[in-house]
Amino acid sequence: MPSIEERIRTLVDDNLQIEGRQAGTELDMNASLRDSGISSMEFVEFTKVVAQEFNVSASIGDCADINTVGELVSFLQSKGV
Amino acid sequence: MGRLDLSNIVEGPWWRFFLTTGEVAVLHVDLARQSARLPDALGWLDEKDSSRYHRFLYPEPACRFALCRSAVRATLCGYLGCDNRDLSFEISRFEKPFALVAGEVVPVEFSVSHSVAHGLIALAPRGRVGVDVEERRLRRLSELIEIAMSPDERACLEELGEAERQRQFFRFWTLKEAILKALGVGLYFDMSRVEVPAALRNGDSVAEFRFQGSGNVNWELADISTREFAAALAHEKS
Repeated sequence: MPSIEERIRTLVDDNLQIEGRQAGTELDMNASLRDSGISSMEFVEFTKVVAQEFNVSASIGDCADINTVGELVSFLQSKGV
Repeated sequence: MGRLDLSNIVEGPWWRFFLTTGEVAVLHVDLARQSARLPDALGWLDEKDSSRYHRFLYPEPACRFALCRSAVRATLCGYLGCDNRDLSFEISRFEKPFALVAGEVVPVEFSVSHSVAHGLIALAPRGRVGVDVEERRLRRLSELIEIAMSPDERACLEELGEAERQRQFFRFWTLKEAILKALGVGLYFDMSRVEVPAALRNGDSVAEFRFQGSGNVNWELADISTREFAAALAHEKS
């Protein structure tokens, strides 16, 4: 069973078009997702995709509080994932 | 409401006037052909900007930041008549930037947005201002509509065919994000609770409105989209 981090990396590879990032490369858990250059729309869209993948609910307010992959993992864990 | 004196705002190699309303100037930043312009752009950045530039994980978004920030610096230096070395930026609690000259907050409102090859800078002498631009790229529309649109907006979009729904979605999104940026709250405020005024939902390109519970403050909200991108401008009128 892949870990939450591995599943998120796959979701990033499949759903985020981050210029300069090669699919499959490691994600820095503490790096800001916004420092990847993704827009607020892409970020909201991605959060929704992650929420669907893990079968949890997510609002735009949740998006505002998430800035790193590590925080995304914590958010999912707070939802019981 | 005083009018905006544009005479000191200078266009540059990668930024040009996009529109002026008398109270707000909007400049377009050309973010294509990034690498050729990067050395000049980096020359405008101060130590704090440079640190921000180097925090980006990948070169392309870093370059877009540098091109936009340098254009903001050149524009504000012209408008305020200040030296670039004296100009600095801070961010509010909810990450809205504001400008300081020699450490003092200056009376100018500005907002910056960029998407792929296009950046916009809105500048106003008074009244909060917010601008948003989005290139119309294929999106998971149903998910975005569900999370970001109000019930009335969702109903409006559901009546449309696929292509028009996508066009209107980007229009609604930029109008809403321009408001949130003007308010300085960004995604910290639930976007689905900020509703595009009915006149704009029904096709007008500009409308005045008031927020519920915001007293006598009038806002002007304008769709400033082009064929190349969706964009919107929000400005506090009084």
